[in-house]
Amino acid sequence: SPASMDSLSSSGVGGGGGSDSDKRQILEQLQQQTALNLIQSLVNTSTEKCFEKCVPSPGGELATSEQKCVSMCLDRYVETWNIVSKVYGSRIARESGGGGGGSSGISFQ
Amino acid sequence: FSMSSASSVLRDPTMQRQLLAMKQQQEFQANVAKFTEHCWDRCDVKATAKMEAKTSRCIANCVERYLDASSRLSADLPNLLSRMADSRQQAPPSSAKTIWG
Repeated sequence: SPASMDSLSSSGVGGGGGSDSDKRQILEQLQQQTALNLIQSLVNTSTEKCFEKCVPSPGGELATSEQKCVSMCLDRYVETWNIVSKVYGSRIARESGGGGGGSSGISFQ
Repeated sequence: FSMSSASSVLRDPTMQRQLLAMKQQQEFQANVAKFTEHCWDRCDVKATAKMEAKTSRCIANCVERYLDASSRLSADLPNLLSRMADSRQQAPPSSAKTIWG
């Protein structure tokens, strides 16, 4: 509708239509979606790995020892993720001329 | 949000730069996820209260060696591709079926 078109044609820097706030909003939404996908992937994979490791014979319920195992397993999985992220990030930084130190990855605390 | 205003937003160079940066970030994270899963299995990471030093070393080595192997492969790829093209020119179609059939 004409009204919504007007609001989108407000002045924006850098050429092209769309206001700065629209652009910012798009980027924020993409960033959020990416972060969500990442968490999803982490949860799916770690659940599978930790179930394999901690519950070899699924019974009528999850034993206390199994619950503790799953909890520790998740901690170790996240720790593994952080090691991988650091090593991979450093490697990329090294190979792209050594500038900028540190990884561009997300680290889970 | 119409298609024409969408395309003009995408033409914005600042926007393109940021989208590219986000794409690279995404690739980085996807690789981290892949290496984590792979090296978790390879290094037989245990569900203990504390990670053993040899395990964390293994994970670091796992990532580095994977990347080394990947570079090695990429370096050899042009040679490999040219050899594939040669064999396709020489061999009749029926031998292709034998390989893949």
